[in-house]
Amino acid sequence: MEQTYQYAWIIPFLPLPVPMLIGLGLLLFPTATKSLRRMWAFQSVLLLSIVMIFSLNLSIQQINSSSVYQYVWSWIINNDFSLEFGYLIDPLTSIMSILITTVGIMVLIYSDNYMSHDHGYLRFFAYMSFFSTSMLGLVTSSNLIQIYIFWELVGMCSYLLIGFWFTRPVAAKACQKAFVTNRVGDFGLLLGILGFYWITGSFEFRDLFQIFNNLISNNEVNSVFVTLCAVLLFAGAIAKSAQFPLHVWLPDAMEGPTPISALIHAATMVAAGIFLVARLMPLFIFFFGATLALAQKDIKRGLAYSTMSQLGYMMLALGMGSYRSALFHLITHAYSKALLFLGSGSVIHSMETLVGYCPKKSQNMVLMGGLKKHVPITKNSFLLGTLSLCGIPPLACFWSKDEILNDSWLYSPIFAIIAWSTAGFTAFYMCRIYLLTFEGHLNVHFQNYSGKRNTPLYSISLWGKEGSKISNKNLNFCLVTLLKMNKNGRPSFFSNKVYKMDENGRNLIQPFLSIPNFSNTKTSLYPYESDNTMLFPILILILFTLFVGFLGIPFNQDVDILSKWLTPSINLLHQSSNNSIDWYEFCKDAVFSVSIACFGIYIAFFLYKPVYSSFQNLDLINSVVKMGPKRIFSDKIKNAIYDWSYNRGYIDAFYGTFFTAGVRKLAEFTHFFDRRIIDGIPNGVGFMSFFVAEVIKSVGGGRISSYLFFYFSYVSIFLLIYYFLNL
Amino acid sequence: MLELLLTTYAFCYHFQLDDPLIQLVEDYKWINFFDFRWKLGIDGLSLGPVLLTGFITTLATLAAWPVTRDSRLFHFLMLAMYSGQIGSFSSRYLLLFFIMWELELIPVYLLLSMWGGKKRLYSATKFILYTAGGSIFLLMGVLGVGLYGSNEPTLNFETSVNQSYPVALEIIFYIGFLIAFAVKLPILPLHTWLPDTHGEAHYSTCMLLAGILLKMGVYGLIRINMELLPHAHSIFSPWLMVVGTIQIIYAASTSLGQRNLKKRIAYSSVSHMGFILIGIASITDTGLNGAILQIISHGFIGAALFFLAGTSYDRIRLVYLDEMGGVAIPMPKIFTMFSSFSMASLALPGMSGFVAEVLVFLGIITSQKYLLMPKIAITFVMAIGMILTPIYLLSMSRQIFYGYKLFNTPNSYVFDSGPRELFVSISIFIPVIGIGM
Repeated sequence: MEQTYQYAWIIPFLPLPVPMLIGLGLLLFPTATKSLRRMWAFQSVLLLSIVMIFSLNLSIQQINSSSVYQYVWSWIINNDFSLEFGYLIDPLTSIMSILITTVGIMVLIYSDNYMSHDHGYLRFFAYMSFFSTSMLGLVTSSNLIQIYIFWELVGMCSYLLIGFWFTRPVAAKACQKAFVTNRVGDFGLLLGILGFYWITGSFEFRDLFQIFNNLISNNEVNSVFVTLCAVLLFAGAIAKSAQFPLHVWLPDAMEGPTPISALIHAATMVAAGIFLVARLMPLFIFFFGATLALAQKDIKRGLAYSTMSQLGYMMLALGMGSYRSALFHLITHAYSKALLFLGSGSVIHSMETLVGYCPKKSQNMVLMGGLKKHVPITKNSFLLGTLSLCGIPPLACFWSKDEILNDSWLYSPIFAIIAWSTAGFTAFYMCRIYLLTFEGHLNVHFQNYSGKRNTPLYSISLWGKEGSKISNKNLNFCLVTLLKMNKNGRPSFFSNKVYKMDENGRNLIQPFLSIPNFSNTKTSLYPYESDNTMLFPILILILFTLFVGFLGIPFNQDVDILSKWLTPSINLLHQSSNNSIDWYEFCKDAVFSVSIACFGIYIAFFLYKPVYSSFQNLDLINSVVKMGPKRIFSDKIKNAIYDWSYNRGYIDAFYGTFFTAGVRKLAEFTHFFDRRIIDGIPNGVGFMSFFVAEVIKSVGGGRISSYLFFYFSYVSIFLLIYYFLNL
Repeated sequence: MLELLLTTYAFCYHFQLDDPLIQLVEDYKWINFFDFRWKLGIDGLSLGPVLLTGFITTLATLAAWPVTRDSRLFHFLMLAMYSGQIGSFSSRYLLLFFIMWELELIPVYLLLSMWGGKKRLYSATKFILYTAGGSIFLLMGVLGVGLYGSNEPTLNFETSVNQSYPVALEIIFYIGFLIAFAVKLPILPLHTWLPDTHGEAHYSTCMLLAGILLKMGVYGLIRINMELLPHAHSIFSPWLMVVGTIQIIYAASTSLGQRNLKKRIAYSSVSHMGFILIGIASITDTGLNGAILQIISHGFIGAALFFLAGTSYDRIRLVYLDEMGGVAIPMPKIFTMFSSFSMASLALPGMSGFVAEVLVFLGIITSQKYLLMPKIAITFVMAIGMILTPIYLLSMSRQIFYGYKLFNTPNSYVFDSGPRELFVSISIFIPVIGIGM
C-alpha cells in the first residue's frame, strides 16, 4: 500500500509522453506520424486508463484508511528560499483524479470517431492528453506555486483546444478571449498566492493552514489584507469556473469541437475553480460571508447558462460550508454534463451528414427536432442526462442537488428560495433543449437553414402573440424556398442504407425535398445513429449517471461512502459535520424540489410540445433565440428573465466597450505619445543640429577675414573678462 | 562562410569547456603606460550571458544563411559583434569594458545600415546617436571612477569594489552609468531607438540585438552600478522600481498599438526589460536571480520570436499585422513554433520566463527595504502587465496565423519552414523548456 502512494507521482506524468511524442512527430516527420494516427490515439487512451486504474486503487485505499500522504522534493533551493515540489494525496485528490480520468477516457474514445475526418486528428489527441495531464497535475499538487503552474497550463490547453479550428475567426477570437479572461483570474490567483506567502512564509497547504490558524488565534493578521488576498484567490477560481464577472469566455468557448466542450465544461476545467476553493477551504471559511454574496449573484446571473448555474450551486454550497455536498454535486454534475455534451456531439455528428460541416448549421437547434426516431440511443441518453440535471429522483444529480437545497434551507431561507427557483428554471431549459432536439419533426427539410435570418433575432425574443406575424412570413418564405430548393436540389429519393424512411406523421411535401449538400459526399435524408465507438462512452456515462448518486445516499442513517471518504478533509475544517439527516425532512425537501423540477418540465412541455402543427412549432423555434444545443440562451417567460438574458449581452457589450476599447485607446494613446513626444525629442534634436550646422556652415564659409574677425573678437572678450576679474 | 561558422562553433565550445572554472582570468599587461591591462575573466554573473552570446550568435549565423548580398562581410561583422559582446561580458577591467562596449557599436551600425529595410539609414543613425550619447556618460563615469582618490588610475574591478566614495560623488557616478546603461537596456524614456532598429534590421541582426545587446545594459547595470556603487544603488532602487513598473505597462500597451510585426515584438522586449529592472532594484538575492534568469530567458525567447517573425516575413512579404492572416494552414510548423514561443514569452509555467518572473515577484515580496503599501502597489501593477502581455502576444499570433485567407497569387512563396529553420527554433526551444523545468 505504501508502494502505491510512492508511485502516485506517476498520475500526472503518465499521459504526458503522448502529447510530447505526437508534437515532435508532427513537427519532424509529419507524414509518417499522420499515417499512424490510430496507433497514437490508442496509446493515449491506454495511458489514461492506466492512470484511472491507479487512481481508483488510491481512492479505494482512501476509503479504507483515509490517510493523507504527502511527498515532497525540493526544486529550487536558494540560501533564503526554497521551493518544493511534491504531491499530496488526499480524498479530494483521489475523487478528482477519478473524475478526470473517467471523463477523459470517455471523451477520448468518443472523439476518436468524432474527429476521425478532421485534419487535426493527432493534434487534437495531443492537446487532449496534455489537458488531462495538467488537470491531474493540478489536483495532485501540494503547494500553491504548483497549483498556479498547472492552473496556467490548463488555461493554455483550453486556449489551444478552443482555438482548435483556427481557420475560423470566431474561434480565434473566442480562444483569445478565453485566455485573456483566464489570465485575469490568474492575475488574482498569483497576487493572492503571493499575499498569503507574504503573511505565512510558506506555499505548502498544510503549513499554510497551520500558520494561518495560529496567526488568527493570536490576532496577528491584518484582516483587511487577508480578506483582500482571499478575494484575489477567489478571483482565480471565479475565472476558471466561469462565474459572474468573468464568465464571458464560457459561451464563446463553444467554438471548439464538441468533445472539448464536454471536457472543458463538464468534467474538468470549470471544476478546477471549485477544486481550488475546496482545497483552500480553511482559508476561505473566514470570509464566507463575502463569498456567499458573490455566489448568490452567480446563480442569478448564470441562470442562462446551465453549467454556470450548476457551478453557482457548488459555490453556494461551499460558501455555506457544506463541503461534502458541493463535491458531491461536482461529481454528479460532471457525469451528467459529460453525458449531455457527448450526446449533443453525437447529434451534431449525425446532423453534419445532412447539412454539411458548417457549425452554424449543424449545431443549430432550429434545424433539429424529430430526431427521436433516428437516433434512439442518443436520444435516450440525452433524456437521462436532462432528467438528471433536472433533479429527478433516481438519477445522480437529484441526490446532490437536494442536499445542497437542504443545506441552503438550513442556512438561510433567501438563498434556499433562489436555489429552488433556479432548480425550476434548470428543469425548464433543459427540457426545452431536449424537446426541441428530439421531439417533433425534423426541421431541416422544412426550412432553409436560416443562419442569417436568425442572427438578428439573437437577443430579441418574439413569441406567443408577437410571433404570429412572423410565422406567416416565415411560412411564406419557407414555401418559396422549398420551391426553389426543389428546383436546384438533387433528386431526393435517396435514403441512407441503414435507416428506412419512415413517414408516419411526416408532411407530404417532405420526400420531394432535399437540400444540396455542400462538403459531404454522403447524402442522406435522415440523420443516422453514430458509430459504436461514439455510443460506447455515452452508454458508460449513462451508467455513471445512474449510479453515482447512490454513492452519497445515507444508507445506514449517517454513514455513507462519500462522507466516509471525505472525513479527513472535513476534519481539516475543524467542523463538526452533522450528517444525520432526518428522513422525514429529507422526503419533504425531496418532494418539494422534485415538484419544482416537474413544474419546470411541465412548462417546457406546455410550450414546446409538438402537438401543434409543425408550422406552429417552427415559428416558435424560429423566433426564439438562436441556440446551438450548447449555446444556451435562456428562454424568456417573463420580463424579468428577458432582462437577465439581455444582461448576458449587456455584460459582453460592457466588456467590449469599456475594457477592449479602453485598452485599444490606451494603446493608441501610448503609441501616439511614443511617436510624437518621446521620439519627437531626439528627432527634434537631430533636426536642430542640422539647423545649427547650416548656420555654422554659412559662418565658416572660407573667408579669412571673417575668421580673423571672430578670432580677434573672442580674444578681446577674454581679455576684457580677465581685466574685470583682476580689477 | 563555413570557416566563419566553424570559428563560431570553436568559440562556443571553447567557452563551454572552460566554464566550470569560476574565475577564468586572463591577465596581460597590454599597455605598460598607466597600467592598462588586458584582463578577462568569467564568474557566475557573466557565465550566463557569455554562454547565451555564443549560443545565439551561432544560431544567428545559421539564420543568416539566406543572406546573399556581401555575405562574407555580413558574417565578419557578426563575428566582430560577437567578440565585442563576449569581451564586454567577460572583461574584468573598467577601461577594457568601455572599449569593448564601443567596439561593439560599429558592426551593429554597419549591419543596420547595409542590410536593413527601407528606413534603415534613419534607424541606424538613431541607434548610433543614442548609444554614442550613452557612451559619453559611460566614459565619464569610467574615468571618474578610475581617477578618483589616487594619482594612479585604478580601473580594476577588484580594487574598485572595495573603494568607497562620498555620497554625492557616488550619486553622480551612478547617474552617469545609469544613463549609459539605460540607453542600452532600454529604460523608459530612452527606448525609442529599439523599435526602429528592430523594425528595420535583418532578422539575424535582430536576434543578436534582442538576444544579447540588450543584455549588455543589464549586465553593466548589475556589474557596475550594483557592485561598485552599492550605496547609490540602494538610494536609487525605489526609483528604478517605479520606472520598471511604468515601463512594463507602458511598453505593453504601446506594443498593442503597433501595426508592424517586428515593432510589436520589440516593444514586448522593452516590456520584459521592466521585469529585469524591478528584479535588480529589489535588492534581494531572489530578485537578482530572477533578473539574471530573465536575461537569459528573454535572450532565447526574444531571439526566437524575431527569427520566426523574420522567416514568416520572408514568406508572406507583409509587415503590417492587419494585412496578414490565415497562414497557419500553409505553414503549420512556423505556426506551432510561434505560438509556443509566444506562450513562453507570456511566462507560461514550464518555460523559462515563468521561473524568472516568479522569482522577481518573490524578490519584491521578500524584500526588506520597502514598506507594505508600495510593495502591494508595485506587485499589483506588475500583475496588470501580466494581463496585458497575453493580449498583445495572442492577438498578434491571431492576426498572423488564425483565420482563413485565399492565396490566389499563383507563385506565392508561402511554404513551410525547412529543416534549417526548424533546427534553429527547436534548438532555442529546448533550453527554454530546460530552464523552465
